[in-house]
Amino acid sequence: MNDDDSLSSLLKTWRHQPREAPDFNRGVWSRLQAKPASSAMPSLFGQLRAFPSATARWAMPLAASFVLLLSLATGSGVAFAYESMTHDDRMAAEYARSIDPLQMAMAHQSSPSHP
Amino acid sequence: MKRWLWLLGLAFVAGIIAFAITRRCLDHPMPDEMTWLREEFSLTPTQAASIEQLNTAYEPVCADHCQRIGAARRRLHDLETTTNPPPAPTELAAAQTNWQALCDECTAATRGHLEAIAAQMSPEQGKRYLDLVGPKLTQRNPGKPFGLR
Repeated sequence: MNDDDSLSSLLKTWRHQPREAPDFNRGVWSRLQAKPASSAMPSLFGQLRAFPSATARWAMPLAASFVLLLSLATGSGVAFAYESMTHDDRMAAEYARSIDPLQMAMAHQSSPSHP
Repeated sequence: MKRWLWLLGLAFVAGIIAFAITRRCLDHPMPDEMTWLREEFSLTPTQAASIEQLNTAYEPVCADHCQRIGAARRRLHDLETTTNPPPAPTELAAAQTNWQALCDECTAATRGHLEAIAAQMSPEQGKRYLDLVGPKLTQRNPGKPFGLR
């Protein structure tokens, strides 16, 4: 307890007296001017490295969701395109089957008769 | 990196599933032939009526061809599979000739029917009809009745 009191009283008597530094400002400016100009604008890689992890926390799931949605939309789009491109062809084939006796006979090989 | 590979794989699978589901949803039954002809080739009521008449007239011809094709095919099949006693070569050749003649007759009749229908349409629609349906008719290999040796 006594040690604490003495430390406390000692701290109360302590006064900080910084040394005079008349060249401090000039020193700072000279160091800033000595830096290369390119370092003032960090490179893309540097910016990416400095990408805050807090931003990455929501950006990554957002990008993943976007990729998934894009693939779903692409799958559906391809199906629509395929359907519209082959519709006429399939209808024509179906129609030809209905008027071509050879195809009818082929379809009813086991019991050939007119449908 | 590994997570991105997983995501790409998942996206690929999701795309395939989306394709399959959409195809299934779009897989509606085909309309009947006359409805398709009317819509696809923009038929006027008069043209549609004429084509329906042609179809009605062609039905018995088609039925007759079907029946004869079935009989000829059965005959050929019997001759080709019978080994005891083997058929006379002349008998087999006659059946094959009959089969060929029947196929030619059917093909000519079907083509004639297609051309008669196309003639009822406007020239450009008639040409489109022949271009679309013509190649769908049987491209048979003479002398090789389907399903037979």
